[in-house]
Amino acid sequence: MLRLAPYLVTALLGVPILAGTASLILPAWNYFPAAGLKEFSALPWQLLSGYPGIMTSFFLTLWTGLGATLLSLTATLGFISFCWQSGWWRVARKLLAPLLAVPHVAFAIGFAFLVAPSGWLLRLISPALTGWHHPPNWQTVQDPMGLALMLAMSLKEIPFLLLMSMAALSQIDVERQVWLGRSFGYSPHRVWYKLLLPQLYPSIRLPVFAVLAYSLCVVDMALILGPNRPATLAVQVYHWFNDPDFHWKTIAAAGALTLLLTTLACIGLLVFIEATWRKLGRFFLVNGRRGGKGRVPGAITRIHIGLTLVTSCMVAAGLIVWSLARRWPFPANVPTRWSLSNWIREAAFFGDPLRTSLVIATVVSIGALALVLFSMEYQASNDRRWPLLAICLPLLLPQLSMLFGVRLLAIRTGLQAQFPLVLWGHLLYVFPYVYLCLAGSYFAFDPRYMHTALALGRSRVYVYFRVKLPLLIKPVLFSWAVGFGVSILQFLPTLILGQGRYPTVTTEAVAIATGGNRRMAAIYALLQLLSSVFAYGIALGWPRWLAHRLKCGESC
Amino acid sequence: MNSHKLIVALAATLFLAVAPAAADWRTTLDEARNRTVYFNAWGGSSEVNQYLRWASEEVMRRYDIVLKHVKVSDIAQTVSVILAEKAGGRHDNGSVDMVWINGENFKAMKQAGLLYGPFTGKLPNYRLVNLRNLPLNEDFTIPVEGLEAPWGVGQLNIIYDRAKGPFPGVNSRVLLEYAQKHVGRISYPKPPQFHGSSFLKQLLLELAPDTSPLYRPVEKSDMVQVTRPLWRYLDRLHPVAWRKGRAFPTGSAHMKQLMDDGELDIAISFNPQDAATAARNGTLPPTVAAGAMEIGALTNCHFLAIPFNSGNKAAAEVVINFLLSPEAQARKADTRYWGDPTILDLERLTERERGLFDPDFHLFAGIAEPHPSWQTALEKMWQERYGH
Amino acid sequence: MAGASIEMRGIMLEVEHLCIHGPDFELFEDLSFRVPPGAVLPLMGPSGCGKSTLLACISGVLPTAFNYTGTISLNGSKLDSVPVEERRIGILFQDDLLFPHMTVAENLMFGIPARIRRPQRIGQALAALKAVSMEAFTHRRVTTLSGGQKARVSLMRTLLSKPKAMLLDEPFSRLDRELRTSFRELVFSKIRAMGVPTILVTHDHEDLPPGVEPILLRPPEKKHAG
Repeated sequence: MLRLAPYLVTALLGVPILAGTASLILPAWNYFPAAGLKEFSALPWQLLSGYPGIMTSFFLTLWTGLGATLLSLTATLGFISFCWQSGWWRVARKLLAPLLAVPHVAFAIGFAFLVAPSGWLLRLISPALTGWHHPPNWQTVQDPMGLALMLAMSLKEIPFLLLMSMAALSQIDVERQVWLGRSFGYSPHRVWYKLLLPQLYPSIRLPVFAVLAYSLCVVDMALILGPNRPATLAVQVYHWFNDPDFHWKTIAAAGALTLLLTTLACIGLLVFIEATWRKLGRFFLVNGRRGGKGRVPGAITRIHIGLTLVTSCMVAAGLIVWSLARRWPFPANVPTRWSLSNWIREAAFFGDPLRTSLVIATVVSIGALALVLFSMEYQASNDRRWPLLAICLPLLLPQLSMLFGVRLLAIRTGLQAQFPLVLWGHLLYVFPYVYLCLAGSYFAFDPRYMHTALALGRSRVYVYFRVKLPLLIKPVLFSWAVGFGVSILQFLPTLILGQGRYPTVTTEAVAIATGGNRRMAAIYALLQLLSSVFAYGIALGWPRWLAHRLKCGESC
Repeated sequence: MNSHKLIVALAATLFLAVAPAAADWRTTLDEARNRTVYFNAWGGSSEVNQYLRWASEEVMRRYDIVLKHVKVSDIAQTVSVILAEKAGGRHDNGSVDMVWINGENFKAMKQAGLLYGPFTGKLPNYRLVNLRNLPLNEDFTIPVEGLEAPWGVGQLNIIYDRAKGPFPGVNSRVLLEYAQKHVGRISYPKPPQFHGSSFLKQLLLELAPDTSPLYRPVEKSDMVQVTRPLWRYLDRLHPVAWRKGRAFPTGSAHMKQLMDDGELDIAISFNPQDAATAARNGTLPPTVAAGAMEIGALTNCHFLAIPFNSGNKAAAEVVINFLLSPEAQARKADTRYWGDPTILDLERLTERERGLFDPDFHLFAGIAEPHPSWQTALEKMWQERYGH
Repeated sequence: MAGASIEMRGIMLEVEHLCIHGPDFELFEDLSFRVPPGAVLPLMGPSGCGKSTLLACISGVLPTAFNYTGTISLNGSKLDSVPVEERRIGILFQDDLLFPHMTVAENLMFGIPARIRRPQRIGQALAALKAVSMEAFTHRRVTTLSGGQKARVSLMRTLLSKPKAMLLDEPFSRLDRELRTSFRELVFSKIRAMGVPTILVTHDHEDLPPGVEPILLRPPEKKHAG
C-alpha cells in the first residue's frame, strides 16, 4: 500500500503543476483557441514590453522581492546571532506561534492602517508632537517605491524564517560549538557568524527561496499595500488576466512566464551569491579575528526584533479597535464612539465565507496531513528521502503563474469542477508546509520503538497508530495547525480556480480592503486571524489536555 | 350605450391579452421553484451586499429560489467569462444566471449576443416602471429593447461635509479654487474604476464647448480635440490634489474612508442618498450631504440582465420581477439600508405601496450619459497621460 | 586531594572550596585541588555526577540554573569575572566537534591566536599536521576523516590556540582500543611538552596517567530530604 505514495503525490501535485506551467506557453505565443486566436506570433511579448510603465513594474518587483527577502533574512540571522538563549529569545519563542498564525492579508490590512497618513501611529503623536489636525499629504501606503510592501513582507516573514532556523538548529550541536568557539576567544556573535551560520544556512536555503518566490510574486499584500502607478508585475498580470478582452489573457500568460523566469533567475542569483560568499569568505572565517563586543549590531538587532514584535501586536490591536469603532476622527488616539454594530450587522454575512474557509481548511489540512504521513512513512520504511526541492516546488514557483496555467487548461478542456479545483489548489500549497514542519521530527523518530513493538507481535498498522503517532502527536498536530493556517490565508487559488464562487474570509478581506471600508476589512481580517489561531490553539492545547487526562486517569 | 359596450369589449380584449400572460407567469413561477440563481453583481458596497442578503431571504421565503450573490469587483470580468463560455460552445447551464450591468458592459454583451431576451415584457411588475420620466429605453444611448430590466438610478454626486463649508463641487472652477486653497484634499477614483471614469465624463460635459460629439460614437479624428479642455483642467488640478495626483483612491468606498479619516474633503458616489445612508450608519460624520454639479448630475440607470446561456432563466426572471416590486424597491430606496433611488412610477402604485417610499426624496437635475465608446476612450487617454 | 609528582615551569590551575549547587541539590561541596603545569589531573565518577558541569564551571559557561561559590584561578589570578573568551582554557570533547564546513587546515587555523598573519597561520597549521603525520589531509573535508584522524586534528586545533589550561571531557571513549592507547600517549606528551595544566574527565581506569590519584566524585545529594 505504501508503495503508492510516490505515485499518488506525483499525480496529485506534480503533474498538474507541470501541466499548468506548460499551458502558459501556448497562449504566450498568441495561440488561444477559446478566443479565436489560432496563429502563433510574438505579439503578446511585444505588447508586454511596450506596456507603459512595464520596466518600472519589473524593477519594483525585483526591488521589493529581493529587498524583503534580504531584510527578513538578515533580521533573522542577526537575531539568532545576538540573542541566542537570552531573555529576548525566550520572549520570541513564546510569540512565535501567534505571530505565524497572523495571516498575510490580515497583517497587510492592519499594517496599512498603522502607517497610513491618517494611521494609528500618526494619530498617537498628533496633535501633541506634530501639531497636525489633518493628516499630512504623504504617500506611506501604496507608496511608489514599494517600501510599505517591502517592510510589511519582511516583518511577516521573520517568524517563518525563525521557525525554520530553530528547527534546523536543533540538528546542530549549538551549545558545545558556541562553548568551543568562545574558548578559542571568539565573541559569541563571531562564533555564530564564522561557525554556526555557515552550518545553518544550507538547511534554511529552501525556506529562504520560498520567501523570495513569495515576495516576488505576491498579489494579495501588494493589492493592499503595494504601489499602483504602476503596480508590481504580479499585480499587473493579475489585472490583465481579469480583463474582459481576451487579448489581455495572452499578454497575461506572457507576463506569468516572465514572472516564472524572473523567480528562477533570482533564486539562481541567491545561489550564486552564496557560492561567491563562501569562496571569497573562506579565509575570513579563519583569519583569527575574534570580533569585538558587538554592541552596536547587537543593539540594532534587538531594536529590529523589538519593533517587529511591537508592530505585530499593534497590527492585531488596530484590527480589533477598528472593528469596534463607530466614529474615529483624526487625530483621536482611540475611537470617540465605540459600538458592536459593525459586528452585529456583518454577522449575518460573514457566516458563509467563514464556513467556506473553515470547511476548505479542515478538508485540505487533514488531507495534506494524511498524504504527508503516507509519504513520510513510505520514505522511512524504504530508508529513502525524497529531495526537498521537489516537495517545495510549489513554494518556489510563482503561485500566480501556476494557477493561471491550470485555469487556462481548465478553460481549454472545459473542466467545470470549481470546488474540487479549489481544494486541490489549497492542497498544493498546504502540503509542502506540513511536510517541512513535520520532516525533522518524523525522520528523527527512533525506529527502535517500532521494532520493539513489532517484535512483540503486533501488526504494522496497529503499531503505527498506537506507538508511532502518539509519540509524534505534538509535531503532527503542530504541522496540521500550520497547514490549516496556510489554507485559511490562501487567496489566489480560491479566487482563480473557484471563479469567485467560493468567497472565503480571505477573499472577502482583500476585496473589502481594496474597496476601502476599514471597519469591514478589520472584521474580516480578524475572522481570518481567529480561524488560524483556533487551529494553533487546538494543536497546542490538545496534547496538554491529553496529558492531563492521562495523569488524571492514574491518580483519579 | 355604445360607450358601455366599448368598455366591455376593451375589458374583454384586455383580459384576453392579460390572461395568457398570467398563465405564462404561473408556469414561470413553477419552473423557478427550487432553483439556484447565481447573481454576479458589484460587491464593493456593504449596503448593496446587505440589501441582496435581504432579497435572498425574501425570494427563498416566497418562491423557494436560492439567490447567490457572487461579488465581483468589476462586472466586465463576468462579461469575459460569459464570452469565453460562448466561444467554448457552452450554450446552456452557464455559470452566471443574472448580471447587474449598464453602459459599456451592456453594449458589449448585446453586441456579442450574450443576452437572453427580450424578457422584460413578461414581468408583471414591469408595468410599474417609470417609463414616463426616466430614460429607461436607452442605456448610455444604446437601445435596451427589452434585453435588460431597470433596477435603479445612478446620479453622480459629490459628498461633502457641511460643517466644513459650502459645497465645493458646484462647478469645475469652484472645485479647482477649493483644491488650490486646501491643497491635497480633493481627488477622484482612479479610472478605469467606474466612479472615476464617470467623474471624467461629468467634467468633460461641463468643460467641452460643444457636447454633441459626446453623444455619438467616438471619432479618432476629433477625439483629442474634444477632450483637450479636460486634460488641461486635470493638469491644473493634479498638482494640488491628494497625493499631488500621483496616487488616487481605488473607488467610492475608499474615498468615503479617506473622507472619514480626514484625508479628503469630498467623496464621489453614484447613489444620491449615499451621504444620508453613511451619516446614518456612522461611516461618515453626521453633517455630510450630497451635492450635484450645476450642469446636472450625470445620470444613468442600472439594469439587471440574464445571460443567454443561463440554465435558470425562469428563476432569474422571478427574482428580477421581485426586485422590481414595490416592497423591494422601497427597501432599496430606504436610507436605513441602501438608499438607491427607485425606477418605479409612484403614481402607478396603490396608496399603501406609495406610502412605503419617502415622499421628500427627489432626484437631482440630471444630464444624460454620453455614448459608451467615449468612456473607453477617456479611460485609455487618462491611462496614457497619468497612469504611470 | 591529589597532586602531581612533577614540578614544572608554566601555569598552575587552582580550584579552592568550589561548591556548585543546582536548584534543589548540591553537585559539589568544598572541592579543592591544584593542577601543576604539564600535569593531568583525572576526575572520575558515575554518570550524572556533574563532571561536565564542573568543566563548564571552570571554563566559564556554567548554565544559569546553577550557582557556584569558591575560587578558580590560573597562576594566582582569579577567573571569577573573566569572560569565557578571555580565559583561554581549551577543551577537547568526546566527539571531536570539528567544523564541518571547513577543511582540516582551516579547522586548525581557526584556533590560532588573532594577531598572527596569513602566511604564518598556514605555516603553523601545516607544521601541526606534520607533527601528527597528516600532511596529506591538509585540504580534505573533515567529514572524510576516520575517528582517529579526527581526534588528532581536534587535539592539534586546541593546542594551536596556545591555551593556558586544558579540559578533556572523555576524549578517548569513542576510539577503539589500539587508537586509544596511541592517541592517549600523544595527548599526554603534548601536554607535558607545552606545560599546560589539564583536567581529564574519564570513567575508564586505563586512561589514568601513571602514578596519579584521581579525584572521585559522588552523585549529587538533594539539599532537603524527601
